[in-house]
Amino acid sequence: MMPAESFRQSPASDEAATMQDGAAHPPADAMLFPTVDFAVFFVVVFAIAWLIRPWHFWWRVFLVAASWFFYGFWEPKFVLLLIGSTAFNWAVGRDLAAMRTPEGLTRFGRWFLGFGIAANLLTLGWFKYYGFFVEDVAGLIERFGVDLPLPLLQVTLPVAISFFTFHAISYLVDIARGDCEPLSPLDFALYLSFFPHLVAGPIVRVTEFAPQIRAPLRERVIDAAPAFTLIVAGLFKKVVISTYLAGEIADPVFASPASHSALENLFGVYAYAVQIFADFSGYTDIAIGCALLLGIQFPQNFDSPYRAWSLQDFWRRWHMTLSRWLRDYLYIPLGGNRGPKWFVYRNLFLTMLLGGLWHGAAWTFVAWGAIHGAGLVLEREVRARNRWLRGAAAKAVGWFVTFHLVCFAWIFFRAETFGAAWEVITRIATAWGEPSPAVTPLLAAVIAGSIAAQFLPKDLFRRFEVAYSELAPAAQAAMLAVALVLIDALGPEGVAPFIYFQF
Amino acid sequence: MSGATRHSPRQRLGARPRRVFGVMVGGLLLAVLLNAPALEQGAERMPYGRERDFWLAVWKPFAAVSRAFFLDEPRNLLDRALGRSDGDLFELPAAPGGEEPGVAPPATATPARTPAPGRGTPAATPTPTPDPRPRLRTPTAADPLRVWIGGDSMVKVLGEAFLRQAAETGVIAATHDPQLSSGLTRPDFFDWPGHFNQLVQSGRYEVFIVMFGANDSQGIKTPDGKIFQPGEEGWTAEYRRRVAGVMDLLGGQDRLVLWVGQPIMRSSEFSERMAALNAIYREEAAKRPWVQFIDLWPLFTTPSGGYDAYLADDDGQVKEMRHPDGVHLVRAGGERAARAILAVLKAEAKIP
Repeated sequence: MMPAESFRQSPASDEAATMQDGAAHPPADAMLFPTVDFAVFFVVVFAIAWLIRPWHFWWRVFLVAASWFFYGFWEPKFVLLLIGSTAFNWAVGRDLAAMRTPEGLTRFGRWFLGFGIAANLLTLGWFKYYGFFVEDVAGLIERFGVDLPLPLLQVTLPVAISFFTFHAISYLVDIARGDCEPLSPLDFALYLSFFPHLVAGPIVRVTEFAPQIRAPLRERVIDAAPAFTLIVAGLFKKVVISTYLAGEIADPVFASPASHSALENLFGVYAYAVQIFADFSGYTDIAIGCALLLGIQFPQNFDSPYRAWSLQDFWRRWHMTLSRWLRDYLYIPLGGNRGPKWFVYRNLFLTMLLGGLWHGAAWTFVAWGAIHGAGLVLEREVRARNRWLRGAAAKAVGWFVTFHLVCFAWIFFRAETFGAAWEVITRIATAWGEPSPAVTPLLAAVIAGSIAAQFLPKDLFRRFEVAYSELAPAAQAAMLAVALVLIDALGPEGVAPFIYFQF
Repeated sequence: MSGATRHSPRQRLGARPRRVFGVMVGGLLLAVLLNAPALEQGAERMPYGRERDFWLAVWKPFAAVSRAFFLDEPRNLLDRALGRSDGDLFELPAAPGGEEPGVAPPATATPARTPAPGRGTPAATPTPTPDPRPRLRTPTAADPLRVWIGGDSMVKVLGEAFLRQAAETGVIAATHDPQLSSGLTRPDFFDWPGHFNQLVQSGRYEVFIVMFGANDSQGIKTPDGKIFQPGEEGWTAEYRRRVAGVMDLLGGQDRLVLWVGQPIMRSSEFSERMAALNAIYREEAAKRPWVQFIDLWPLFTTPSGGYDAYLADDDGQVKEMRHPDGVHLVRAGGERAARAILAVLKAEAKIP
């Protein structure tokens, strides 16, 4: 529920206020993808966008306006933040381009780039990390006798700020590196705020996006079958799978591990692993599908991550656009693979640590990053020494170890405190033999089925898309309708909001 | 390879925008027709007001067409197969003395044995009088005290904290049952009387810890169909009748009811409404020996009596107690409130 001011919303949708974990506070009023509001919005935007598509300038103006409306639906005042970020980064990008020489940026240019990045990070830091800093970090410093008289404020975290900050930083760095030319203000505004990726990614590169909006219209053709497949599959994952697992076991177990048996705690962790995948990949599938319907291709963001047989493989499959962002704008500037082995390991570890902190302002997220960082370093070390680690059997063992390491790290990602994470771990280790009413055959089947589905051949989806595209429009519409009704019926009343909203 | 780019232009499954628009709108319209009664029900559960009227006006014609052509049948079949009911409105159990100060003959449902009536009609069940004051037994690890804690989303974080603390005692088995967005004003959204009736009939619980109110300052419908808004006299009378009814329903057989009041809220207007509800809970609890009112208000005020999200905890450390929404509790706040409730329960059950 969300009492007080938000009574204008349906009570069911008010779950947004509380069904969340950790440090993120999802908004109650955001226009979520799986809502009637969004369906109406999208149909109108789709129709107008394709009607005015021949007027290239107005098409872009319209998409920017629609994106700002979409963002303002949640909290109108933060549209100003989005516009401010757009204006600032556009201006910095334009000036940076003038500071490039054939040998790279001028000395002043490097400072100027640093200033641009710092301004973005400070803004993000203020909204996202102030509370964490005041409560946790200042407390630490105080132990060393330094008193920081910082006011205790509750800063509202604007939706999507992490995502548009990352887009902006990649734009500035790409210009500085000479990988792209500055965009016009209109193109840049569209790049930064295009509504399908605005709230939760994927993190699209300017070199992927700009050519698509600059190009004059060649043919009015839409990749409709893959788009509908992505949207329906995404809705199913988000509305049915994710909410079922959260409500059935993941939320109760993490709320009170001591009231659950070892088996329930173990399944709570497995369920959370599937839940966060279904939730996040479901949301980005919908985003990719919507963009595709508007004629824009986004990069893939998930590629069956739970079939990974090593941590390195996992990070090539999980939140892929973030992984490559961290690689290109953090790992490589830190020194990347160049240099002595321990230097490379340090870079790897630091990248994962900061990647962890990006996910949320809490030490538990840092621990999650540290586990992945340490795991990646260890994995490299083991593989460098043991050449026999190849072959099918090794891969099977690798899959098992990787999946469980990833699940182990999720415990810290999900738990509110270290104490709670530790309690889950000790319950799994000790509380065997207790009754486990929460672990039902259906629950086990949903978890196992969701993981097994990641091993399905890609060709299967492709064949479905081809078959769907060959159907008559009426049959396509009927299938779409049946899928939507099924999802609505199987889903709960009121969908928990997207976990990644405010990361 | 990308979800989008794997469909490269040479093999793209292209369609013209007009055709795609037709499929999209056709699909959505058909989905609405197949689903119209469910959508209409969803709108009916919204708070009384303009937005609800708007969506009802939108869905009603669709629902009528859907029913006329039996298009809603597949969805109904599906709901029945999934064991879901449509959550009809139903009356609260009659609480004859509920509105008359001093007299509170409890209209309690018969305990155990009688089969639960499902979407029940608790008013129909006969009522043994509970002892004036419940005698809680002193629980043991082998036979722990069976406690139920529930209500709206305020109970989510609070109940989680209570479960953790209760588990530490080793002699309390607590069940957590928060129903988000629910309350006593809108039984059509979540049927609390029916739910309570089932819980009571199951005979499983010895203590009920209940918290309502944060969703309740909205329009309320009386049995004769009148709608009153908060602040109106009719609203207070109807709400009081419901609170009394729930208290009576939960009493009996040495059961203890701990009714948890609302804490101060950031918005002063909302705070005032919560204080008015607290007064109703307190007064009705005072009439019933089996109900104890637990006042959270002073636990969440500053020394000067105002609201602050950050407060000094029992250990002296300043902690964030409240959610940025100015309403909900966060972990430290939940722990604090749970400690207060557990203290009362421990005293009642003589748990050391």
